Amino acid sequence: MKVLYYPGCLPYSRTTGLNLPIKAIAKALKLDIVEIPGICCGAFFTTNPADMYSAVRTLLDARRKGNELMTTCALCYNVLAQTNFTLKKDQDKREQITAFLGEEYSGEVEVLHFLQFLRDRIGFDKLNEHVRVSLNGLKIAPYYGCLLLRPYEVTKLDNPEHPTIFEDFLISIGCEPVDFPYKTECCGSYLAAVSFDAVIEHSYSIINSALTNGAEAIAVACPLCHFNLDQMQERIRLRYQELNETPILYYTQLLAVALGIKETLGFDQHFVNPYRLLTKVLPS
Amino acid sequence: MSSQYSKESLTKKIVEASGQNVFSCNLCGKCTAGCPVAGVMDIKPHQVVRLVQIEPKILLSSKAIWLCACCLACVTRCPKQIDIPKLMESLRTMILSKGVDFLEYTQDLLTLLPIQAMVAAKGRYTSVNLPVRQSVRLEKYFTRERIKAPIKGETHN
Repeated sequence: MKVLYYPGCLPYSRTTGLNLPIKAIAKALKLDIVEIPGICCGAFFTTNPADMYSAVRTLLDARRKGNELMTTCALCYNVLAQTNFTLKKDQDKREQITAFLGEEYSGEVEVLHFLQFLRDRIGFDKLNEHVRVSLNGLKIAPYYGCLLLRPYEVTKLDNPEHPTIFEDFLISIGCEPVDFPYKTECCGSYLAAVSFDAVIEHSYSIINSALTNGAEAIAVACPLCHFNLDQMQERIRLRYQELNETPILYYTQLLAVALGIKETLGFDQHFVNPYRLLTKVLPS
Repeated sequence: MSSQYSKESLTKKIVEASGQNVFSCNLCGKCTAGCPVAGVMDIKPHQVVRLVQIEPKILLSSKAIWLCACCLACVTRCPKQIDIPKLMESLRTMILSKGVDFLEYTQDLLTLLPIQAMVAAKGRYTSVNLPVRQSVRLEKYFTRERIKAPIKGETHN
């Protein structure tokens, strides 16, 4: 199956775990990945057309090569999907962008998140057949964050208040999902640029809630969630000393481990190295 | 207050720029109840909607519009589908379109924060992508210091 894949800025990011294993995963799942070379998507959607140019350029590039664009990053997914949605219905903005880029785009490309792709195009049952390494019921808390699910009329990925796609994914690769009340709560995203306070308080509530519900690690789908929950743990633990070190993993890293991929997964870039947790359950 | 920025016209400007019908608000407070940053906001999200209706110029000097993380929890739960982040964005745009910059690219931030956070913050706190309108004179409603001032007891370290 041919898939258009948009890595965005993930290869240049602080933690590259979201992007690193994708080629090996594609090989294991027998996917033919065509990369749309990365220019930044804009990271966060704003209604200002000037912020949309780079996302539209990517979508135009994708339209020439196919009709579906897959991305592993929640930020890219949200920005591209919202740009698509806006250009479909807002004629003023479409005209303004067409005038600047010299090519009309009105939302023809379908934007898919990798989780959505696994569910709708491959199927979680089929994915389960590819699993080589048993994760022995590792207790993982799926943290959705905000960008995967909201706004609902744009993403339509899952129920915005009671999503199950991440849990289904974790079950299919042999983990035991842990339900916790903060799974769709915002972690503060880019607010660290202006106030660490909001981020520290929120990341603490999320990690604490996951741990109290019995999780051993948290799985995320967004580089900003990963930063706020993982890299900020240093600052969180200065304020809340009782908080245990919690490994934060990208869902692609978990999938790569389950598929038996031996390549480097970027664990050494994490603040809390999840390697210790994985050696507990893995045979070798 | 000059006639150019009378109460009605500022409300109208915000409503037009954001495309949200603020007058349909029930004031049920679901937005504030679910807001992750409501705790550190000086004006809570449901108050923002009410203030757009009655006294919008207060919002131009509030910290709340700079603290919204755009997680859209309020929009998802709003019975009237009022997009409060869009209201906040149009308010921010009014201030930023003067050509001011509220993000300091200090070495600390650049070494600590991931690339995505800096790009996202650039879109929120700077005017690099906005058409700068010199004619918009809003400085009597806000000063740089009032927005930059940290929340009580907070330091940036």
